[in-house]
Amino acid sequence: MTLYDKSVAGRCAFSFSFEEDDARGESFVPDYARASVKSLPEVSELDLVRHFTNLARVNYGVDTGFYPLGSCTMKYNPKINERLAADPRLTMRHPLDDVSENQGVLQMEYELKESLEEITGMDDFTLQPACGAHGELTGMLIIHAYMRDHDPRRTRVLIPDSAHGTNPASASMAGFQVVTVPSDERGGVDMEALDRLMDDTVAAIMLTNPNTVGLFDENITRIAELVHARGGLLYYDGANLNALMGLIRPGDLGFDVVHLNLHKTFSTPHGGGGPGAAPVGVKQFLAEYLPVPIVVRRDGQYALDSDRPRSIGRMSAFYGNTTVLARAFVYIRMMGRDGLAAASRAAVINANYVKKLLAPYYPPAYDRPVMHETVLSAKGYDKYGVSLLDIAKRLMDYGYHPPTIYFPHFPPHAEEVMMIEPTESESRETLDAFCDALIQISKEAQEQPDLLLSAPHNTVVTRVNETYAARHLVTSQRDKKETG
Amino acid sequence: MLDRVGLRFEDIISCVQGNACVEGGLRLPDGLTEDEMVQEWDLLMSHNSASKKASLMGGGAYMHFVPAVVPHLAGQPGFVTAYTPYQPELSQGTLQSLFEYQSFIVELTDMELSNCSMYDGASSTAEAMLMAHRIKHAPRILAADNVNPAYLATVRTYIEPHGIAIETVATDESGQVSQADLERLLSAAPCSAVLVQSPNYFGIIEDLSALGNLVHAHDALFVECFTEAMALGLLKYGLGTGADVVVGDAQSLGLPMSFGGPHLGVFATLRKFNREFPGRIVGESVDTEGRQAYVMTLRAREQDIRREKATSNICSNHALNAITAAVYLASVGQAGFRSLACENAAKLQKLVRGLEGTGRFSRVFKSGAVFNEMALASSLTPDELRARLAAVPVIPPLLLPSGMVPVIAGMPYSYLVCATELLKDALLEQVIAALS
Repeated sequence: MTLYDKSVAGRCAFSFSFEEDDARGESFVPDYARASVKSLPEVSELDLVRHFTNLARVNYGVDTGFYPLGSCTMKYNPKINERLAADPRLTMRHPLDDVSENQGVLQMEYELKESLEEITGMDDFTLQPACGAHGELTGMLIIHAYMRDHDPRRTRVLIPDSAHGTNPASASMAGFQVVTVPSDERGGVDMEALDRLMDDTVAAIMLTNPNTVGLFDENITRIAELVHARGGLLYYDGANLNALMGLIRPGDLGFDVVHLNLHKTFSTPHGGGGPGAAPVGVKQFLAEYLPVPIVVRRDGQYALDSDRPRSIGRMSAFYGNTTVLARAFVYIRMMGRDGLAAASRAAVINANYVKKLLAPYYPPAYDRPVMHETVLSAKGYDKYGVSLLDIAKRLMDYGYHPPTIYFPHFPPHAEEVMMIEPTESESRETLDAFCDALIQISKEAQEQPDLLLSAPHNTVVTRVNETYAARHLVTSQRDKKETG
Repeated sequence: MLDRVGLRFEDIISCVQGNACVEGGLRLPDGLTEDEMVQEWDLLMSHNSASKKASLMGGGAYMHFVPAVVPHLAGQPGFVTAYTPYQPELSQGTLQSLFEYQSFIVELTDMELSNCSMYDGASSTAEAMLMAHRIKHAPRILAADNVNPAYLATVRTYIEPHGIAIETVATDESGQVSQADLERLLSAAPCSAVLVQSPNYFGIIEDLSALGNLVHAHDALFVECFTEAMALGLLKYGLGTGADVVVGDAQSLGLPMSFGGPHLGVFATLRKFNREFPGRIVGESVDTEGRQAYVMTLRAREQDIRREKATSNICSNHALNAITAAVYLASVGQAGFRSLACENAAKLQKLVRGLEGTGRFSRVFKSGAVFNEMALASSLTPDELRARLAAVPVIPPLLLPSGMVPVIAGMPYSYLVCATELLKDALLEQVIAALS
């Protein structure tokens, strides 16, 4: 039931001492006033509380259970982060108030920037982008602006076939033509193809390393040398940085632009689809292109610097998702140097542990150790009439969120792939139980395939019909009323 | 653990050998315990000035009253710690809440289709310009020069690599978009979109219906941007004024200002553009038992399927803030939302009359209708203003750059002055007294 179904005329959850009456307010805008609002539900406070509390209860989150969604790094979101990010001394700041009033928040942002520079080996950062794709767009616009000034023939961007869909979409939005680079049989960038494609029309290559199959590209230094030698730049998609903290830094590998997903590696919650935050780091020669304003320190005071004539401009109205940045700041301060390295190490160990336990039942896409996530195949189960989707839905009955499924779209010999990213947060007992569930499901697939085909059974709804939703497009209460 | 599976950590990470590794650990401080962290945080936050009870500063971020149920409900771990709802059977909470958000936005903007959020008003506006270009193909857009400058800057950043030119439409002496200038620019060459903000950056409400008629006579899309979501309770937007797209920032719907983010981008449009709009959208469907269920729909536009041909690169959006806005709107209800909008409009009038009464302030635009914000000229310098207000718990108004609005004789400084429902009469009187 929606709130509209629960609405009763005249009920209200709002308690506020108005000092003016409506007619007075309306009298100031005689030509432009809309009719009174007659379209929001009317519910009591208790009805409202129960409605959203129960909706939250039927939602699966990291706090509910294991969420091994590959490439999304669903690690635990520490509660101290939430408490400090909700501090009114932070949330009540007006972004345009004089910087002298906001020295604390600016210091926090400045120190976060310094930490990110150290973790990635980059020279400067903007904290403005709102999430990963926004960070990618920011980074690619920086490269676009740089090439416009230095080598305007370079209008193409190379992207491996293993990349997230946001990479080509962001490159395209930044005005580039996208050229796909195939992967080799080991899952890395095909060096021969790269050698062939990397010409003087290419502005940059966008890479995720470890890539989306969880493999670290051993050729990364050779790739960097080749791309740089031919006048291109390297973009690092930090979606998978959780494998590398304290081990290796994209800046040292030769990357020129980096974006980080604070809502992945740095423990800020995902919120069912954001808000996240995706700071973008650059090498010094690109710093003048960063979006304005940039937080700086001058004579012991923190300030916002907008005096950057070559800046790409603005990516949003203000300076970024401050309360998300605050959570990442707290995470980095509490983890410290050793904690961050230990987190990456545990994430890698957990992924390899799961991979080994499950390999006899779900063969890995590549038979070599992985970093923080592993891609396994369920192709063998088609002979029982069972697809990967059925296996994923059945996992829900065991109390787990399924891994990422049907991604990445390569290589051709690994269809029906699932990408499992356990993260460092999970205990051995949790991983054992999860693997037991997937092994049990593999038996069920052979003995009782109907159990899988009709799964899930224990969720609030059974499988949802996506085709019906697209054909009978109802995306609001207004649509619903109109379609009767 | 690795013993059980016959691996050694050194072997696993041997793949990084031959590349430049970190020697001797990162140069970061040691970690802190939770109590140490709280102490460090307190010290940091003590460097901010004290929090205020109301804000005379708007300009894109607004201080409003937030009922206690709003952060309580939106902060439920089931909402907070979930990912994007790719698996609908485990995500009905997020999905239904977003459906309700979309329903509320469709009603308040008077449009046919709302996505389930963008990042903020500025990026949402920029995406509207790109959508218009996809639909109309003319490499030129027009924008009122009285649109929030940060929004205009964001639009410029987004359109620059696509070779789309932007020209600005002048503001007339009443503070509204000059219809003559708009007509002139529309006649000069084809354009994909016209962007108008109402109330505009100076607080003046635009005659959207009249502008919409002009725009449609020239086959461009009319993009209406609201400045402050509270205005949706009192002012007309959308179908009734000829909009093709309504965008804006809905931070005012239950979200704190948070130093500028995370806010909430609204994007609402017409059903006929349902293959063209950016961002995610939730649709109603059924499960195998025929029960009502929700799922993300119209997915074929999106980056994970279309890659470089997607309508936008947007992936994560501001879903939790959309849920917050839904809780807020349900909490204040339709009568409360109307009353809040009216309270805002009336409070501004009371404040402006009081300020004019001091003899130190004067309206920059004398005749235009306003909502909860307007440009005032003043004889007070920014430092004088700040010093006089030092003992009053309000954030001072925003100084406008010189040359942005016409100069009033004897009053060389211009401020954008905002009032909301938080400016209680007692506080308002303190403000006037301090400036008298």
